[in-house]
Amino acid sequence: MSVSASAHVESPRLTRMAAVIGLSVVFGLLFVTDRGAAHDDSSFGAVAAVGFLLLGGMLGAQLLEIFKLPHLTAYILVGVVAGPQVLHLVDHETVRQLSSVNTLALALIALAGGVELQLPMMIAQRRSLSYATLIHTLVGGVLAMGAFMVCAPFLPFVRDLGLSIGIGIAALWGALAVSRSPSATLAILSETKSDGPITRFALAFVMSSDIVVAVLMSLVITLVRPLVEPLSGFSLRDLQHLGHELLGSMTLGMTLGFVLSLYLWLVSGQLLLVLIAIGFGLTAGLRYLHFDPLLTFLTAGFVVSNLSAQGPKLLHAVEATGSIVFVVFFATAGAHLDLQLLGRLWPVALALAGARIAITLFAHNLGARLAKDDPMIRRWGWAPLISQAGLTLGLSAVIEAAFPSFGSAFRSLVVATVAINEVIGPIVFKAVLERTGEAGKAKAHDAVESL
Amino acid sequence: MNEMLLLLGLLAFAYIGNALIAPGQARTPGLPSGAQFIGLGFLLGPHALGVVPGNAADSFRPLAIAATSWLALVLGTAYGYAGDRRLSPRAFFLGLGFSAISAAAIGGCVYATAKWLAHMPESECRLLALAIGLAGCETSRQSVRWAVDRGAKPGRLLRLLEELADTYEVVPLVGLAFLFALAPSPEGALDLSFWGWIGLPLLLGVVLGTTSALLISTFSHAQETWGALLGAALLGTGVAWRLGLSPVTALFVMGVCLSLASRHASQLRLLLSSSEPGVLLPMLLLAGALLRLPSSNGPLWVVAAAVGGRLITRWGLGFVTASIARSGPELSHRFGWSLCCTGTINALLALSFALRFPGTVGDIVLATAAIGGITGDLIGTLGLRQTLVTNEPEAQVAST
Repeated sequence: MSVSASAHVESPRLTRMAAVIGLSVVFGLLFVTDRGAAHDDSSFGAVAAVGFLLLGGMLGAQLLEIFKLPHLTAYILVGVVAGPQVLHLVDHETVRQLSSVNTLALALIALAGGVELQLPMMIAQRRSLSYATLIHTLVGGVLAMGAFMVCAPFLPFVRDLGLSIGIGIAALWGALAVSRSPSATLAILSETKSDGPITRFALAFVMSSDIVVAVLMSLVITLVRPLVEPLSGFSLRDLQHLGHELLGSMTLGMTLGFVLSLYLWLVSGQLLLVLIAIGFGLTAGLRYLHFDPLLTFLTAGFVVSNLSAQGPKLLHAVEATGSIVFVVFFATAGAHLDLQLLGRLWPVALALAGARIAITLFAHNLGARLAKDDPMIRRWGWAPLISQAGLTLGLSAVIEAAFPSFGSAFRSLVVATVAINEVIGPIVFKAVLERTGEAGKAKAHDAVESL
Repeated sequence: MNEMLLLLGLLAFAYIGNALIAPGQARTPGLPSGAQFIGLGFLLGPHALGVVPGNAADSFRPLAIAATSWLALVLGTAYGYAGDRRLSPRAFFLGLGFSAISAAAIGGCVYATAKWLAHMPESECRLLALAIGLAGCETSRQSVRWAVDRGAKPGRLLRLLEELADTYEVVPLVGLAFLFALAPSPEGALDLSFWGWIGLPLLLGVVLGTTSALLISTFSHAQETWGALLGAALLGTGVAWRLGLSPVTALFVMGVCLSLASRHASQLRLLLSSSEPGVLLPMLLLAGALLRLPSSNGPLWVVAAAVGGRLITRWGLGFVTASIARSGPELSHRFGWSLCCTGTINALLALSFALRFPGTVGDIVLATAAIGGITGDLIGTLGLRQTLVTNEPEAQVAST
């Protein structure tokens, strides 16, 4: 059944007019309700807010297509405008309640990331990947940490906390800085129908970096906790726990992957309900058992994709569910943005985003030289590595939950830099693919589709 | 953790609902309305075994409201249609007339009992009479499907039953706005007249329905259509509830408008109806978990009068239905009981009312819906089995 395919209005002008009318109606409805409802039943405020952010985000994305801006930017923008800092149509309590969407979104992102991790593709590029992963993670992470330390005196939530805490927060920043955006990469490759060395490198590296970042983040959180929270000491037992956590997460992920494969093979229906149950229920169970949900879901997706023939089915279901969940997720991130804080630290956010781009260029150049990569990759392979999106935002939510004392302000800074990277990254990547002639090659489209 | 377990339980029931009751399944198991799941919810709930604690059930109130509203949207888009066939004015006249007569008769029984036997306050008597009357006036679509699943052959009587089941919803669902208007939320800042309280949810539904139809026509992916429908439904539910309006009425009207304004209404009906079983079962379970059986004599009298009054009224209307379909007196007599079956509206309306008016009155309405639903289904299925299923009357086939 293709309701919308057949219903689709071809004229972009009509589409935009409809979007403007729709946006006016949803904003108007929430505005009237906000002024008309004297008592505030926050749980029903949250119901209305989910509907509003979903509709508003989708319509905003349609409108911003005029400027060729990514949909994610529109979702964040709608959240910002409706959020507690601007129109106050969605208040702080509602934003807090909606944060539970993060759990589901992160599970979906991780599952999709795992599915997109194709073993043959990685084996074919193992040399490039090894060097790139090593250099980006170590050199890139340390340099990003250094950049954060340089900017720390200008960050109100860091400057008064002392050196050791500052180093701890900088380490978290360094770990976040090496995360990429699988969704943005795939979207651009699908849109441009590309093939060539850059396309293949982008797919292999961006997808494999998911797992590296998930492990790295767990490690960094464990290591910096004694620095950030001086009352909690550090012992080798913590590393032992971390080892258990990582190994246990991967083992559980493998089991989940096999179970999912079996389900997809034998039943395959009602995947929406299964994904919601896994996203909320299993995540709660994994947290209770002190395992890492991100790593578990990545491993599960990897197993489904590489050890069964069910990968495309799972990816399709995750994308269908995610297309709705991510709108609310990103819009909530926008509503969560502390604009007053951002107003004070936007130059720092800009500087940090700029520093990350420069570090990415440097790390890529170094890694590509050491790996003796194809000249094309050496010159342009950095382009897909700039984008940051859902994974980074999800990890910032994990950091916020792990370190409540500064987590909220830290997350605002992350959202601001992600917004910059998300706007610049896809534009640059697309331009590079067109310039190098990789755009428009049909085989690449097949490669992306096969994922 | 309790809330998480309850969520997983509801998801499991949604799964079961889709697996067992979804269109295309060979045979719907159990009672037509699925009222047995209210019983199961009650057993698991805080007032019986306590597997689901009271605070966990309460925290799912918004989800229950969202579920009832979504079902109202599904009913709204399908209103006036039997599949893809638009129903005749005669069907509308009969459907609306039968439901109005049922609501009035059942409401009358309840009012009299509540006032003179249970000695309840006048305002509560009015609310009870209206709520139970509206919840009980249903001609269940599920009963038609139940009969068809069990081999009922097409005939004049089955067709008339189907028409009645697809045209009556305006009375209970718009009547709910009337009910909310009788006791507007005291904390609400809106200063509206009685008719304002009734008109506003209708207006909200019209705005949401036409806007959704416009937006859906501009989207190019199925996910976007789902997103637009879900977004508009949740926005409408939240807005209506916060303003003290009936979200069920607003969403029903939204569905009707969407169906009228969209060029692809038939596909939307198909799309939305596929979601019904997955929402209905968790809603029934939640209704059961929130159910508190009356313990004193007064409310028990009211429940008994409502259940008894409904059975008699519906039998009478069933008799008339069979007569209109030119069935013989014996068949009409037996078919009369078939109209006692309940369906979505009974539980949906009672749950909406109980959530809006918590306390004794809400508990009585919910208990009546549960007991009346199970009783009506048991008796109604007997009637269906004797007339449409087992002894498919020759007269019926002949008159086709």
